[in-house]
Amino acid sequence: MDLTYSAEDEEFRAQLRTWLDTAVQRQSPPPPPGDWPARRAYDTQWQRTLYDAGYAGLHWPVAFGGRGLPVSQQLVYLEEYARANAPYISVNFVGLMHAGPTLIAEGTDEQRAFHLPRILTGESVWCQGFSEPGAGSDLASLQTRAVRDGDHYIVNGQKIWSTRAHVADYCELLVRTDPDAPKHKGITWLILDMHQPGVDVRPMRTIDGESHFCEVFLDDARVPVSNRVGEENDGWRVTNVTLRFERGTAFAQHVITLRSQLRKLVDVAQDTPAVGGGTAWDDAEFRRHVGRLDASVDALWRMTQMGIADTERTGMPARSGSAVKLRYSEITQEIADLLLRTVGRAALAGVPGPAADAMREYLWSLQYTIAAGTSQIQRNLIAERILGMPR
Amino acid sequence: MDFRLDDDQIALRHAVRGLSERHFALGAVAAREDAPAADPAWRDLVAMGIFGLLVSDGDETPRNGTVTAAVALEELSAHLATGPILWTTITAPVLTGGEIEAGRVAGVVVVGDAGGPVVIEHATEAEFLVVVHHDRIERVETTSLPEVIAGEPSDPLTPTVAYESVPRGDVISGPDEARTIRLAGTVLAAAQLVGVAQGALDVAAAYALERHQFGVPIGSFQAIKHLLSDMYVRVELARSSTFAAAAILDDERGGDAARAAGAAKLLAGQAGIDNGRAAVQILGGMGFTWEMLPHYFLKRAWVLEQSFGTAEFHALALGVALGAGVVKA
Ligand SMILES: Cc1cc2nc3c(=O)[nH]c(=O)nc-3n(C[C@H](O)[C@H](O)[C@H](O)COP(=O)(O)OP(=O)(O)OC[C@H]3O[C@@H](n4cnc5c(N)ncnc54)[C@H](O)[C@@H]3O)c2cc1C
Repeated sequence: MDLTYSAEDEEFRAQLRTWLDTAVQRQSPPPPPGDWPARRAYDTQWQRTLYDAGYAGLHWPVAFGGRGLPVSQQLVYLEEYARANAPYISVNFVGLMHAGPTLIAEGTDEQRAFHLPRILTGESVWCQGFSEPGAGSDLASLQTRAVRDGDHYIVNGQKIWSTRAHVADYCELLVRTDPDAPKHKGITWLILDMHQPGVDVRPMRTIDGESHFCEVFLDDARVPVSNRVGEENDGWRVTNVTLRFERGTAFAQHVITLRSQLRKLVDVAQDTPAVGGGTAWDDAEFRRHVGRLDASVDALWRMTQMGIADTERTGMPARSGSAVKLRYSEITQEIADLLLRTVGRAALAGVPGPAADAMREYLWSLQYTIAAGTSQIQRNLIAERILGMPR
Repeated sequence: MDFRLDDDQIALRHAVRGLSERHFALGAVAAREDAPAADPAWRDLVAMGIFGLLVSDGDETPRNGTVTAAVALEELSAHLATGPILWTTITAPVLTGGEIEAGRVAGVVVVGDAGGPVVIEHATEAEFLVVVHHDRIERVETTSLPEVIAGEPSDPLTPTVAYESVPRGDVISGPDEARTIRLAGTVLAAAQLVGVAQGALDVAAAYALERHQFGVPIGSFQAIKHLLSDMYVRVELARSSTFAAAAILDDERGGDAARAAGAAKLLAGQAGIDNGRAAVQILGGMGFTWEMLPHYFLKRAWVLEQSFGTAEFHALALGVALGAGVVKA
């Protein structure tokens, strides 16, 4: 076991750092929250910038347009990216972190040749159409129907909570192709083109007053059979591939960003006057709380590193990714909660600056124990699939 | 950069498991209460080279020695092994070859002059004591120790005594070695806590599959599943942190050793104690009996929590370090 970086890794780091410092500085400020078309333009332009500089898809195999870099350099990339405070992956998340990897693992040559370059360059944006009003945790009970019509599927049904679907070009769509089979055996994984008749996207207002996700209504939408990933009715297996990526390594960037989240908390505490003099930071119990969080943040990053190394070896994130996802979501919420307490009453009036940000971040953080499988579901999975408890 | 144990380390883990099953079988734990480690067990540990893992061979510092020692100590600890294993391992590098062969070493870290009794594990079965001060290491002969304060050790598997004070001994090393021993002790105590946490999880998971209520195994109840999965998450997190810290001790270019060691100890302490408690809960009324294993794990966890810095101590140190490092805009 060896945690040191090689000379080549350090050289890669030096070049990347120099490049990032200028590139990030050149970025215009991000658009205001809620302006989704502007957000899309901002994020995809940044992805193009990364691509042109050779920093897109570092973890993807070379054969599929990625850089196929060794694990150590993927880690350097994540560290430097966070250190430079580079833009959040945002609208490119689904494409880069789980749709692309699913196509790499399960797609046809044509699907890969068409989609993978477009994901890497930021040309196309993906969303996920898994959940339905009646099928959240119990995803396999989904009802959206697809009926074969020659070389197309005709799709009818409704998806919900589909993140950034309002600016997406393609969707990871789960449909039921055999309503008579047991629920896990009649599902198919399709690539849905969002820009076509029969696809109606309606943004929903989210807890923070924004609209992060949408309902997607499908009314005789046509999907070519060539857009099927995996076999007909074998979609549950493919879904699990997607979920392993989504719950496994997709959170790596988030995990490392916890460090800056924690630093920001300390920074705010050091500037917040305390009752009776001094600052919030002078309180030893506060420092201990931050110290405990710091230990967990560090350990989560270690687990993530090991998970990425595992993925490299086996092609799939390890199941212990569930543990990282579970603990990540709790820790990010705990930091957000502490920040909100620290800024105090100013958050109630939305005083611009740290106070208003703290409330927004607090509300946003609540999604992490729900999305991509709730914490209760993750705990069930760990107990049943890892510890062997009866279903 | 490599996160894996090498083949020798994996082989050692198997060998230590075999040794543990022979000498420290969990099924026979009661027979080992309130006693020093049996001589045959100690001889086999010596023969396996456990106590030489941190010792240099000539000028060669052992490559990855702390990681290897962490592998061994975690495994022994999951079996609630007895004897002064931790202190004998970490003090070996500052003792001469003959003294290592002589056998068991007990030790204690003295922080300033905190006053109050000095509590030392395994003092009565040790050849001599090693006392680690901030700036030096002393060797204290057991014959020079005062009367022990009468009392009953909390962990039946860790004979522990208290003295009003410990006399001064011979200075055998300076501040650098003192730091090295403290760091190694912190990380290897963390490794032992990971072993305790894993052992408690294994016992609880096995019981959850065996014990039936309402006609089904209790492991099919979601409340029990969630307790178990939290145990799993704690042990995985603590293990990652501990092995990372061990690797950093072996090559400090990999990170900040003090910070990594403190983080590992903090998380491993939480994992050990919380998993011990969770195991008591999952075994229900049987978990509250002396007959079952959970209390041994819990009590051992507290011994280790109180060694090489408590969670509160490390939390404050980590917080202060982070605060000092925040660059003001
Ligand atoms: C911000 C955000 C973004 C999202 N983005 C997407 C997206 O892009 N695409 C997409 O398809 N979906 C998305 N989702 C949906 C998300 O995957 C679901 O919300 C989630 O799987 C939970 O399903 P549900 O909302 O129906 O809750 P339910 O399944 O109704 O659960 C309600 C409560 O019951 C608990 N519960 C349910 N079943 C069990 C059980 N077996 N054991 C114990 N407790 C249980 C849950 O933990 C939860 O607390 C997103 C959700 C959020 C909040």
